[in-house]
Amino acid sequence: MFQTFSFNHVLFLAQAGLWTLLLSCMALFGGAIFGALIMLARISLYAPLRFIAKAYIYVIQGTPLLVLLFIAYFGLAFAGYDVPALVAAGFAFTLYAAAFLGEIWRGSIEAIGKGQWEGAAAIGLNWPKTMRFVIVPQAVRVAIPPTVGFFVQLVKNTALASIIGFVELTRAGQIVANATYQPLSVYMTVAAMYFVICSCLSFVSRRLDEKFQNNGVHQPIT
Amino acid sequence: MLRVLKAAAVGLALVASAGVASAQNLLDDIIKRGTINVGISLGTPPFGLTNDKMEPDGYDVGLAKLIARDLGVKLNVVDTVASNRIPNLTSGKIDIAISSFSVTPERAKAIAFTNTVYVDQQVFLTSKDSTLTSLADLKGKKIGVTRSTTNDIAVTKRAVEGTLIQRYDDDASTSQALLAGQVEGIVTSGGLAAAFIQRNPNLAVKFVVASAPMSIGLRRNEADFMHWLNTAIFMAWTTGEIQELQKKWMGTVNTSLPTF
Repeated sequence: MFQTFSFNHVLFLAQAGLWTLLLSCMALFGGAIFGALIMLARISLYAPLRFIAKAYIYVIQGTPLLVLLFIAYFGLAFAGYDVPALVAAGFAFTLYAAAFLGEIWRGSIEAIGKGQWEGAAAIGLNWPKTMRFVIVPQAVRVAIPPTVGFFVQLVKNTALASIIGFVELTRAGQIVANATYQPLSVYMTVAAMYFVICSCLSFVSRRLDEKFQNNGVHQPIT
Repeated sequence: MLRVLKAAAVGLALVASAGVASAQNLLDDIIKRGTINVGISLGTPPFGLTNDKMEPDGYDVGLAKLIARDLGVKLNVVDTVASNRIPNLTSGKIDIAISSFSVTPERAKAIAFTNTVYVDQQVFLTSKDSTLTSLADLKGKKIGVTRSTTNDIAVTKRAVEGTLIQRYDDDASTSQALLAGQVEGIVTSGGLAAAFIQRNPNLAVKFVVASAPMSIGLRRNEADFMHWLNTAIFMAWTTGEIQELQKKWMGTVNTSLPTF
């Protein structure tokens, strides 16, 4: 009944790895776009917007990702919407990533010295222009390491999507391990695949870091 | 404020019930749709697994194929971990669950069970030279079981006080814990234990914890479909197809299948 771990299994795992990659991309891009909106709302001049963003972050950060996945998948089904596992997982991960990215980026913005704002105001820049030309270019540099750290976490967290029947890399590993009973070699292969995905992310981040160090962005005056 | 909340709650309930009740007659719906969605855990050999062509296989898959054939529809296997069988059913993600699904009165409050398709034994699997031969011996010992399975329910109910039960998410992890020596023994299904001993001859079944009739799970209030499933099971047993599957995957054949 049990099979030996073979090339066929590796192909099956690689295929599941593509699903992990797709889900990660959905989470990264969805989270980045929505997270940017949350960040803007969080530093907005309007108190109600600030309050909504704060409440959102408070609720999502206080909810386990697993529960978010459950609500996105089964909750929507009970409400009469039949969403495929990939959509439900992408949705839950977007909500989750947005809350954390919004907070990380707000921190980066607020890390820029008050003098920069005052300087920008002194030369007559309005709020959007101050953000665009003075604050954000400096904040991006501060934000890169924690953002990439969170992205790498997110990629590994996609393993949780197996709970709603989404066969991604980890669940595929479980299935193959159960068919071969050679879990060590199976999970080593799975780990190698995660490593490749995550090290690609780290590589891009290093390149970005170097780019922002060298393109003549002014150092913040603190 | 309270009235608004109440109205919102009623509205939500209506939306929810509309979603679930949209299937007027599941049997007709499935035939019209041309596919049946069956929840099976593919990480639970010999019930559900993937074969060397990476296709779903196992006892439960074989049974699902019989049912799809008899219905004249295509089979769509939805990989369903043990703890998600009931939510997947009640939310309509799957039509039926054939997933080493043991019958319990507790579960029957949430979903309906057909007649039995296999009677399994829950056994205590440990190393050959272990001296643990009864539940009483397990006091103070660490034993492993897969979470939310009937193995879990059975051993949780029967274990003497002081038994340390370690729960894992799937059978591979549970058996791995045994092999790695993280637990003294595991409570698992007889079918899996037999296959496992074949692979690791230094393991042995020391005692039977409980016996578990397994059946097919479906949503409640589907009397028509329930009756059809029972008819299909009865016919597959009469023609000997169920016995064939049991012999192939479990190595043993039930003498009879209890009905209720």
